[in-house]
Amino acid sequence: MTDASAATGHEASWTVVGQHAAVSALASAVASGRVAHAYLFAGPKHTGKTLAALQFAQALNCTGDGPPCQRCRQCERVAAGGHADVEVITVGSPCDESEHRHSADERDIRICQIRRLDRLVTRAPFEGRCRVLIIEPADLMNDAAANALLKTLEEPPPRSVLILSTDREELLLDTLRSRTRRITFTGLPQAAIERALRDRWDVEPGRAAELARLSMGRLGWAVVALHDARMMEEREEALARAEELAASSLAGRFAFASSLGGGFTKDRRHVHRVLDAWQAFWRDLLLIASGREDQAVHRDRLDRLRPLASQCTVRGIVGALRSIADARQQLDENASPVLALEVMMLALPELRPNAVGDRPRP
Amino acid sequence: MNVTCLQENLARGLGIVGRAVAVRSTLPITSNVLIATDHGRIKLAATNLDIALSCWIGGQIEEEGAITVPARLLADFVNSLPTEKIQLSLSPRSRQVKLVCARNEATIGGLDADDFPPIPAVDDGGTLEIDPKMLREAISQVVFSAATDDSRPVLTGIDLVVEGDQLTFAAADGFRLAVRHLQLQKKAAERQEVIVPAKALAELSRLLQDQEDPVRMTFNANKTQVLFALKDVELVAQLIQGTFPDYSRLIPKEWGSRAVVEVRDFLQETKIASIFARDGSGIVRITFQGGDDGTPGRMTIAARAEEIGDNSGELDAQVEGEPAKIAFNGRYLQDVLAVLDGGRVALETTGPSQPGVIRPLDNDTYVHVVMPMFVQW
Ligand SMILES: [Zn+2]
Ligand SMILES: [Zn+2]
Repeated sequence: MTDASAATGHEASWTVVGQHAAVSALASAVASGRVAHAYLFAGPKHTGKTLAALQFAQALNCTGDGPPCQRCRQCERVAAGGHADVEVITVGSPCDESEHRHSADERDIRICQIRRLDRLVTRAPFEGRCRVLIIEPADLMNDAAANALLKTLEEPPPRSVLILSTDREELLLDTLRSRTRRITFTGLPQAAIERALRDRWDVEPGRAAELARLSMGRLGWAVVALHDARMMEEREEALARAEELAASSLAGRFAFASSLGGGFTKDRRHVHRVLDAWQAFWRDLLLIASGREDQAVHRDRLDRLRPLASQCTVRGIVGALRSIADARQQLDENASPVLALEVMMLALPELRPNAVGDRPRP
Repeated sequence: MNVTCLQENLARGLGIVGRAVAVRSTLPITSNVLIATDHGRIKLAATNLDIALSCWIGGQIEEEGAITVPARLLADFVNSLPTEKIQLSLSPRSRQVKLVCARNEATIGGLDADDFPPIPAVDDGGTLEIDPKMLREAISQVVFSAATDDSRPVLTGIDLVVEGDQLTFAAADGFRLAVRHLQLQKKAAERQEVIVPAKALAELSRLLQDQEDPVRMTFNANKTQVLFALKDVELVAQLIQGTFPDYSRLIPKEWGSRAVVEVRDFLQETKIASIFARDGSGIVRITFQGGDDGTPGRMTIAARAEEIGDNSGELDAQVEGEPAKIAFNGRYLQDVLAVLDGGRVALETTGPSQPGVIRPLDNDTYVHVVMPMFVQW
């Protein structure tokens, strides 16, 4: 319990790893009773924003000593996801319209879902002292929803706290940001993740080191990967594919863009995870090409990455990384997914393949 | 748990609390009904987190216990059983409820009673006793004026003010305002004001139908819940947080023209005119004027719909002041006239663009204000 024992005072019972500034701001707000009506939890994915939001909800309703005590009925009910006053508003969460059936495949958070939030915040809490409504990811609110929320924030009702959680705060309206108190979450140092995996999740040292490296600062990612073998497989596939595509003809690249882009509306997350892996792949090539191989994420693949890196210029790799980032942005802005991926393919440098015999076994 | 009760009692109890079962919720357990032994009786409870309903029924308690089971499934099953004794049992550490009635036997899978949202205890903010018939009438006279959309959440509630020996109900949706005063038996210790969701009071009104004993109304000290305790039934509603608009200034203090008519005739003519007003924006036009030389005055209620035709009806009216004309949404007029229990009513106005005021003639406990519609006369 390295992080918890390092904490002092009000933060002692929080279990969010590494986010000392965030936890200390939230814990002292609870202790002093100076709680804002709305918070913006901003920072990369998988860095503890959701856990912090739930622990904040516990602390605001806790009836034990040293909130969140994790032992009282209120803390337990929040942790079990059964607290009547704590709700997450997200893509696909229910609204109050009897004829609507929302599903997680939807693109955005809609006005009817914010209207439900509006009704909930004006109702006194049911079982606790404070309603906590978490909008996540807040950047996925569409314009109508964001404007409706803005109205709510103008006249915040008592006994309620809103938390807007996002890893892309630049996509939020400035007016929304200015009406919330900002709590910043940061990526964690690799060593901190490695230590947390070993100490709290009992991961054996070699695997902890590997996951910590691959996580790129996101402890939550490592914890999910720990329990979900599919995730690692998917990543391996995406990396093999990135390597293959770097060496394939334009026709081959376009064919892949069309199949990946075609599945975008059905499973956005998959596409984003593939792009994550590609970004990591090109980032590793960049590190190798610029002589910082020791910082590469895919240490197990160095033998395969080195010959590819030797064919690239730093400039070419930077161009590739930029084109992946551009494609992401266009996907967020609802451009045609196939077109966005095709444009990206055009900008990736064309490399000579590694000898076929070297291919890692699938 | 092991209890036995009559089918009809269980069916009735499930029917009562079933009104509070959540239709859709992020908490799946709220679509269940809680069954628990409670001081020698069987307690049933359900909540959609806006209201919570509890109901107690008699039965033999063989063994104490509690469980929650899917409300719809249980109600459908119990309703289809013969009117005989039902035995409900739950073996220790199991979540399977066994029901036996006559020659039927069923097992229903449940969820732990411990996970059911605890129904708030409301006991520390003072209690009032109210006559159930009066309460029901008061609710019916204001509830239709509450807003139905959530654009201003406080207006979806009914404002309740306790002051001295008066309990005042008010509802407004931006187009109309209804205010009803109720006389209390006992003076309240202090002034209190809360906003109760209109839907919760509509549910209460339904429960009051077959209630004889006084209803006990209790707020909790921090004004988060209100409890209405009936015989064997309790309703707890989450209060709306916020400030209800100061409506007293919306009620005109004086009038320029006033017509007194029979409620029944007024409602009848409004209904007829509304048939013709259906195609337009539901506008009915009212004109009234005094009679000559002691003859009674008259009120005309008219509507016209392009391409369909028009209608004009007339009724006797006792008119004071200037002749007047004013147009209203016919629906709004019908809503208020329908909840006035006969007798005579006064319509007061100070001009076609000023709100109309409707007051029953025989008592001053009710007032209704309606915004006019703007029309070419
Ligand atoms: Zn606690
Ligand atoms: Zn909806």
